[in-house]
Amino acid sequence: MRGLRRRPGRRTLGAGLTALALAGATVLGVGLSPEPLVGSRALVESPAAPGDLPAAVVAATSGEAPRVVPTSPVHLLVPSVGLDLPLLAHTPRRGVINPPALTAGYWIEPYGVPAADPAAVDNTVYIAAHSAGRGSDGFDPLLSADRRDSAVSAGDLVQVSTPEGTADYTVERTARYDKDDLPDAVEVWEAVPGRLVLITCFQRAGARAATENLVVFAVAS
Amino acid sequence: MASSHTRRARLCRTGATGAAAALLLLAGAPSAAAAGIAIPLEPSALAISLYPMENFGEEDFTPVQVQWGGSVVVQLPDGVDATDLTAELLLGEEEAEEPSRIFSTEPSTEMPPPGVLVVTDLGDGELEVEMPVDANLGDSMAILVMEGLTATMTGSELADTGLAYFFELDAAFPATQTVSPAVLVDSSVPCDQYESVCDGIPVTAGDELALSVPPTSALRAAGVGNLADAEVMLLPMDDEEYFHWESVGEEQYVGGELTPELPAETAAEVPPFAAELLAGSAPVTGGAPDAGGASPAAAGVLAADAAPVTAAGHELVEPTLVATGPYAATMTLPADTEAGSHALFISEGDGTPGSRYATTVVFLEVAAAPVVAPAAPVVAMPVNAGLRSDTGWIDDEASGSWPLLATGAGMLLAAGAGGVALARTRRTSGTCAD
Repeated sequence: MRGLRRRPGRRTLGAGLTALALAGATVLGVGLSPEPLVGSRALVESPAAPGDLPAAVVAATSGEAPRVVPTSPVHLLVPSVGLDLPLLAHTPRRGVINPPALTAGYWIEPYGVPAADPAAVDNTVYIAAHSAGRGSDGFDPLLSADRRDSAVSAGDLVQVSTPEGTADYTVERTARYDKDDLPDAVEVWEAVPGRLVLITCFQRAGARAATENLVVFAVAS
Repeated sequence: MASSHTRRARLCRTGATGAAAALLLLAGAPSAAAAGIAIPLEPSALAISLYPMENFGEEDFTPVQVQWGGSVVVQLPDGVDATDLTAELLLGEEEAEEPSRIFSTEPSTEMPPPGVLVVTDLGDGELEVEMPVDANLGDSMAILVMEGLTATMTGSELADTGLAYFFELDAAFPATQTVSPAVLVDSSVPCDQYESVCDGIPVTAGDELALSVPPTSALRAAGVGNLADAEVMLLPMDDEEYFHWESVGEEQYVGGELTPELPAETAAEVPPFAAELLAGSAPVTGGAPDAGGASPAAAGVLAADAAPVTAAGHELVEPTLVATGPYAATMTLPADTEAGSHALFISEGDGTPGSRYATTVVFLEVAAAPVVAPAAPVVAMPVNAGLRSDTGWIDDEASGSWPLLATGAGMLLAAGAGGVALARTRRTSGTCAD
């Protein structure tokens, strides 16, 4: 028997158009959602953190959409600017630091690992986090309120808390680097035991991409 | 009469109380400023000596050759007055113990045999001395001794040793010779070189010293003090070859024979009757211990074979003097200079006939340099692989969601267009079915 091709019926076409309309409405709705996309990515990609850390929790602050904040027993604190970030590990791909979440800091592997005793670490500890220019994400507190300068300065205390204890560091200086120049800035990448380097983008509010990085140099105190 | 001991420069004396004072000064002395420790060379007195440089040959005393019955013109340097000059010319054989004849501007019957030495003042410091005729006594070796010369330079005193010249007479030699003695200017700071209590200037090994010759310095008045071409030498004062200590009462004096006696081999080149006189003419300079520098000694008697180490085993240290002007220079004391009293010799001039040669001795009380822990070796830090940091985030509201918005809107438009087309199809079919 020779097969016959049957034209789709009107009901089938109508159902397809209805599904297309519903899908378009959904996509539009997501696009209009105020929650940062990276938050959901963080939830998905956070297993990169060591030891399969506990599931992310959802924090909510008044006036803002719920934020996905990873949990970690390791924290970075900068009391002078009210910064307290959970720390996870991050292995850059293709030579680029790009933390998966806005709401955490990341120590860069395979360099120094946060420890209660900085002297026991044989390399610089690098901690990177995003800044979004809104004042509440990642390393946003490291930038001044007007986003024109660093909010931390020489002498400020930086702490890395771990289950074994808290390591204290003192800020020596801050510096800004063109993003293209950072990989070649030897003073940043020197392996110095007892040194802590914080890295973020010098991100101003708005839609313009950052062209500079802010680097905070601190030493164990 | 000239004698070597009169040339000894009694350099300095340091009493027990002086030493204590020096220690106190050291304890309270501020550390060296970056510009260096200022040491103005303003000696309170200058000792002027005249030296017959024409007599200093390559290795021995060389007589100036002049014709019997000829004349010698002595060109005195500026600042030396000959108003009270007395002169003697002693003649003898090469091996003579005593002179055979003596001529004098003040002849005496006691002289063997008496004769008048004619000295004529030609003006402008020129003194013409007439040589005697040949008496066929074989006394062709002559010593001219001039005394009574005085210095007219400010703050200067001409040594009482006078001036002695060594001549050889022969009928074939030039009828006239002109000689120009060199002027040697000896001085010391911070105290006078004669019998004065002296506490050395407190310094620390490694210090930079800023030497200067102020316009009011007697050195300038004597026509010296130009540090641009000066040389320096540092010698510990416990070097018994050049310094000696004497106790007088409760005080201790240090005396200095800045040069050894006239070398015996050189003395043997002159007649015995002239040796003592000429020994007094051996150059006495602060630069002499070096014996390799530009001092008259180096140019003549003491020659250039001197070892760089003194007989006492001290290595001669010659710091580099860096001129910062014609009358200013700096130098750095070697950091390994031993603590104790040192003499810094500053020598200027080349000792050629008619020139001026100055030696200023700066007495230093050196404290050992503080022990500085060796700097940790610089170890190059290993460098991690550099990374780019894309740690900025642009708000979704501003830019990140526009693809989603466009996609959703497009899907809605497509669904709407499809619905309209489906409705038209329904109408057409109805019409055709009828």
